[in-house]
Amino acid sequence: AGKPVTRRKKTHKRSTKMAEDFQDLQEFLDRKNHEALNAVKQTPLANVLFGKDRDDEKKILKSDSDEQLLITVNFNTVVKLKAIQITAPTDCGPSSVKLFVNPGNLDFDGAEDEDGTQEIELKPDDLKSGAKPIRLKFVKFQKVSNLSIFVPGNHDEAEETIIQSIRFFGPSPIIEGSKPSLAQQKAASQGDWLN
Amino acid sequence: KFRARPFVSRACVRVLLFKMPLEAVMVCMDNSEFQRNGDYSPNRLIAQRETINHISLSKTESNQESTVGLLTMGGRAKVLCAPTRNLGALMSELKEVKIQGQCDFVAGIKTAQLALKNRQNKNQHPRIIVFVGSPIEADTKALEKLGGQLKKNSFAVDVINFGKENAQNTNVEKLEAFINKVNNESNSHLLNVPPGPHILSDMVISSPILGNASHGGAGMAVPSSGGANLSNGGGVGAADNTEEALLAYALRISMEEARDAQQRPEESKEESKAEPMAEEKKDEAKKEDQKMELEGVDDDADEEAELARAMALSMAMDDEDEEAEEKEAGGETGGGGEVDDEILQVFKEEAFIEDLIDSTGVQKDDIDIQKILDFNEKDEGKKEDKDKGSK
Repeated sequence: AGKPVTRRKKTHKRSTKMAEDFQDLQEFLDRKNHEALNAVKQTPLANVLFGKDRDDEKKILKSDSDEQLLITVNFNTVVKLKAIQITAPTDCGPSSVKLFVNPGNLDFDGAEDEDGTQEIELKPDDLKSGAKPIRLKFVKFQKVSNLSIFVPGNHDEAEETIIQSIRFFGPSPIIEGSKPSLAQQKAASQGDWLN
Repeated sequence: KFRARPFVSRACVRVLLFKMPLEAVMVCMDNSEFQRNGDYSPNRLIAQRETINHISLSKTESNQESTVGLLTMGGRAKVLCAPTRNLGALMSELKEVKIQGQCDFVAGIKTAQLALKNRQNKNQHPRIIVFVGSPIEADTKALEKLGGQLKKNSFAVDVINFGKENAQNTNVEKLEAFINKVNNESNSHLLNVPPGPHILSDMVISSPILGNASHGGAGMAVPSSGGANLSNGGGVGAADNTEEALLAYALRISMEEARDAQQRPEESKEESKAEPMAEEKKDEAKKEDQKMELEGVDDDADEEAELARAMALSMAMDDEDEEAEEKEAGGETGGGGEVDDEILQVFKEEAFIEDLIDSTGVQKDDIDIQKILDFNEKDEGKKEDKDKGSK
């Protein structure tokens, strides 16, 4: 008779690594430096990026003169983006988005004519809250310090495009195991002078 | 003893902290053949030059990061000076402008848009100031389309339509349609300057384009959302008076608030309400002096005693309330203590603190406000004790 085969418990190393790799990067967004062109002034971009009641019906971003939007966000530190999630009403939510990584001076003409870093089709299912974030071509989003999102139109061809929230996902830019503690690094990335 | 203290109320601190938004301005000058016309003396071109002088001064002074650039629309639209703070360079280019060709409004605006698109400081709000001194060839539809584009890209536009023929031709309606398309919450204006003896630069200075309420700035103009840029009409030194006018306005508001504030705790006092504190203290000092005089006089000759009594009587008849006021004022630790408390009370109001902190861009939760206030109070307490001791 042979020795009994003992099965080693599977350590969940892989899943924890994946969780680290896939973090909501909201805390790395620059809270003061963001802009949404052609947005109604009463519905600012901050509604959609920050705040506890982000998914609230009233906190939305609405477009003004026509259905296009040009959103620019800045990150406090250089990040890698893995996925993006946009929550919006399925009728007047964006039908597609064009992403530009670290653009120079971008206006609506430039956004339409130039090829972005990646163009993504958004199906109505992708816009529902809790939908799966959409994977990006990771290779092209390795050194993102600012990002422009161009919304050329919405599903219903309505006059106004409405977005409820935008979330960015990627590996945490904080490196585990380097000398300062994790808490100190997080504090540093939010602005040294606040300490 | 009488001590002069700057009394600062909540409203006037808000006014003083208010800054004009920073802008990148592109001025589009009309140097077409129409500018030879002398309906603005000596001719339209020179009238524009003076106005642009004032505009660039005003914009660069209202905010330390604002920039101004210049382009001409006659013939081919040409950028003479990219947005800069160096007014010397701007002025020298302005002087060299020659009259040529015809203006293309749409091309001029598009060129201005391009020049502002490539500005270095992204935080500056782009603004275009156009001088229209000749008939516009483009049709209303093209202008509306252009306006919509500008609004989308969050550009603000101010148009100055001047010249005899332009008051009557289709310019006015075309430009009105244009401004309606561009306007986003009153950031854009159309100024029609009819022909007349007035000076073009005066009309522009007193218009909403440089922050004044329309119909001139008669008296003190209230700071609007466009900015606190008060100035007299005309004169090169107009922009210099901005800060003084602002301070005077702020002081006036604080005086009024001081009067209102005195009404509340002084229900027991009789009449002092209408009088500001400075006056009160002066009277108090005067009264004290006279009291001393009267006492010393009793030892002297009767004549002098009688004179003094007569004076006292006349004083008593003139201002009955001053006596009552002086008795109660004498009982306090002096007006100085009151002012400190007022200031501290203002700072204790949370809404005011929130405003102050928001304006500096700091996150509220990260500061221990209570600590700072307590520290202040300890200081004030020490100072007051010192005063009482010396008295």
